[in-house]
Amino acid sequence: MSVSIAYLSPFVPAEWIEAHGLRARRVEAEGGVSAAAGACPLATAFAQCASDRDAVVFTTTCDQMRRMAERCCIDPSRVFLMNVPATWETAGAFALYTAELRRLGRFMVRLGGIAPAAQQLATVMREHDIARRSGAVVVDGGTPVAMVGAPLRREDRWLFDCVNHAGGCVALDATEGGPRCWPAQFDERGMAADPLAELARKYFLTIPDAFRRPDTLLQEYLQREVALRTIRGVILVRYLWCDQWHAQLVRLKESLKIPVIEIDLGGQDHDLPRIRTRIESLIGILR
Amino acid sequence: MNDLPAQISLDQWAERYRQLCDGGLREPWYGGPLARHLADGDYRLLRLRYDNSAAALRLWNFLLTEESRLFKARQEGKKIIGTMKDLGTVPIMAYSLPNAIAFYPDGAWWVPCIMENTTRDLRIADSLGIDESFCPVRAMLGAFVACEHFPQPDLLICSVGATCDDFSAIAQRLASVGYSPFWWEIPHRRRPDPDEPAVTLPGGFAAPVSQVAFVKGELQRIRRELSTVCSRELTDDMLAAGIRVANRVRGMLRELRQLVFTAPRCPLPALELLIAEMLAIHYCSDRGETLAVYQDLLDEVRRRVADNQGLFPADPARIFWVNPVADLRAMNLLEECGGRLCGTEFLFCHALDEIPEDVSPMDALAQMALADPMVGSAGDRAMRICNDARRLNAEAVLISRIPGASHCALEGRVIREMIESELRLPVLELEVPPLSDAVGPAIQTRMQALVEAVRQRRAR
Ligand code: SF4
Ligand code: SF4
Repeated sequence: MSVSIAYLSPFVPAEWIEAHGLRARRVEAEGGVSAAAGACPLATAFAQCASDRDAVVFTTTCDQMRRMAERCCIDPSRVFLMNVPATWETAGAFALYTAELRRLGRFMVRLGGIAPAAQQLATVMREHDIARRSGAVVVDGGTPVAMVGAPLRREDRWLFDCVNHAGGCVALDATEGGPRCWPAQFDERGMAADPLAELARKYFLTIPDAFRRPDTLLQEYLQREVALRTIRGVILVRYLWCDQWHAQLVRLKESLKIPVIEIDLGGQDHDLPRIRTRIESLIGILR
Repeated sequence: MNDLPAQISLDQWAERYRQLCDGGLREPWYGGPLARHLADGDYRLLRLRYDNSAAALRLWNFLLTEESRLFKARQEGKKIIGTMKDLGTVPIMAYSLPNAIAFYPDGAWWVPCIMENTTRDLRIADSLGIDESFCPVRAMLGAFVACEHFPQPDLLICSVGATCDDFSAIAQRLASVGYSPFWWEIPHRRRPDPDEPAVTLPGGFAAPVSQVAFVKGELQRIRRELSTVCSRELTDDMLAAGIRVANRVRGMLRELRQLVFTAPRCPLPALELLIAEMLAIHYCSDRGETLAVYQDLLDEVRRRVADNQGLFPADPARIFWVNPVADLRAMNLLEECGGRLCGTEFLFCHALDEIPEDVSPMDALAQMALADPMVGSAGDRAMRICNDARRLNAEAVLISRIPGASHCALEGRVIREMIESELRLPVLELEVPPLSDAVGPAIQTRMQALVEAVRQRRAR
């Protein structure tokens, strides 16, 4: 059976892993509540969940995740910390991201993967593109709200039901793992010329996120999608101690000019009724 | 006049100042009695204890007049460069230009402490969504918006990438309210692969050649921007001269630290040493004066060591201090509890290392930037701390946690575990808020327990 590579960040292209003949497993983290004070519960949960995988890719997309790579209980030779630059507007940053993909490739070859031929990579890219575009979710009924922020852990999925029960619907899933974090569609000419460069371009230059500097891709994406889907309110999901998303709260209120509430995840179970009440109140106000 | 070293209060400084003046004290233009800074709102000064030397007076006056120096430079037509986060590298480039002066808006970190929360800075930061879950550097955001504490810079240069999330998020928030930082990338420093060309950086860490080349490219972008803003080409020769001055500053500070950490009797208190270290990062907005301040401190400390004079009762516990402390008063507390500094790592040890002069200036600066302990792994940082603590005969390590800081939770644990396993020394992790008065007794109790642990180990 081929080696499986665990990862969480959307900046780790599954296409690149699979083209090497390995299995790409985006971890749906769970747990992490026992995180040390000051440590992000999501990063903790990811490190815990990744501990029993063949190999794991962390990214430098935030300080907490970068440092968590050191705390993962797995043979260090099977841990890859991928440098994803925060800046994205310079040729140097793009070149660094591409070089990191190549370094990831060498890591996978050491684990038994096979460096792919260009054609092979392009084929996998096409398959992923089709799968992504065919998964469009139809939403109707209820007050349209957006869920924005970090990836949800398995136990946080109830938030979607909570929105529905309150009479709303998540018309825009802009959490990490949702369509916000999909790369733009690959270009056939780009793939024909150099599939790895095309892969890097679409991942590095089009995925909006809170850690990017400047964060204009995220702001533009949200403004566009909120208008397009006539979103009435935003639920910002943020894990305790997460600075990157917490700093977006007032920012989004200013730029989107619709109600935004922040939900702190990764606390104690007794916080859940309070979270439910806040979501119900938001949707009550928006109705 | 009694010239024996002692720690004195701000009140006592009034009398001491008269004595020094009567004895012929000569001061630079920013000199004067220390208590006058109270009029600027620096109320924390009332709660601190100070070294009683003229050299320490000059150090404090130099620190507390940075704001007026910056405004004066602006009036003189100099370009004001706000350098953010990298701690040490970009200011060397800026000061290599004759018409530029660099400062760290990050220095607002200490404003809530020094001004005892009497400014609007934190309230403004709160209103922008940057609340107390962030590190005290959030005061910088309020300072920018309130246009207080420093002039608005002609250029803001901010490093991101392998930095703390606090700073990155706050700098982005600053951008969203109309500032335009020039972002540059500092990548996470990784260990070179076995077959990969590598460089040993100042301070001893290793990095792949490719990472040095990348950072050099980033610094080239900064060089072009500085040249444009200052209307002067920043040449290699100018940079090489800037590096030579930086190395002079660093050399003096290295000697000062060595004397303070190793002299049988402690010749300079912890608080003054902390401030002296901070000057090396950006010269407190006056490079020449930094050299003069260091010279005075060195002369005083050399004299004290030669005369076997020092502060504190016999044989205090030798404590290695990790991380800067949000409340300066905590440095006094350590000594009141029976400790003395025997080593420090205030997050910017790369700004104290000698910069190589046998490679091109841009390569040297790139190496220095990558040597930052915060851009590498916590394990690397912990190893350097261990080596220094061993070399300096530390008897215990105190890790001061910075409230809200994204790096402290995980990093503190890595450092603690390594010190306990490699050096078998007692370690105290302690969170110190910007104003620690309310928790002062608890902090004191824990510091006393650390000192007691050292004494018990000595007795064994
Ligand atoms: S939730 Fe925030 S702190 Fe946690 S891993 Fe994601 S970006 Fe980092
Ligand atoms: S103290 Fe820590 S968290 Fe705060 S700005 Fe400095 S490195 Fe960042």
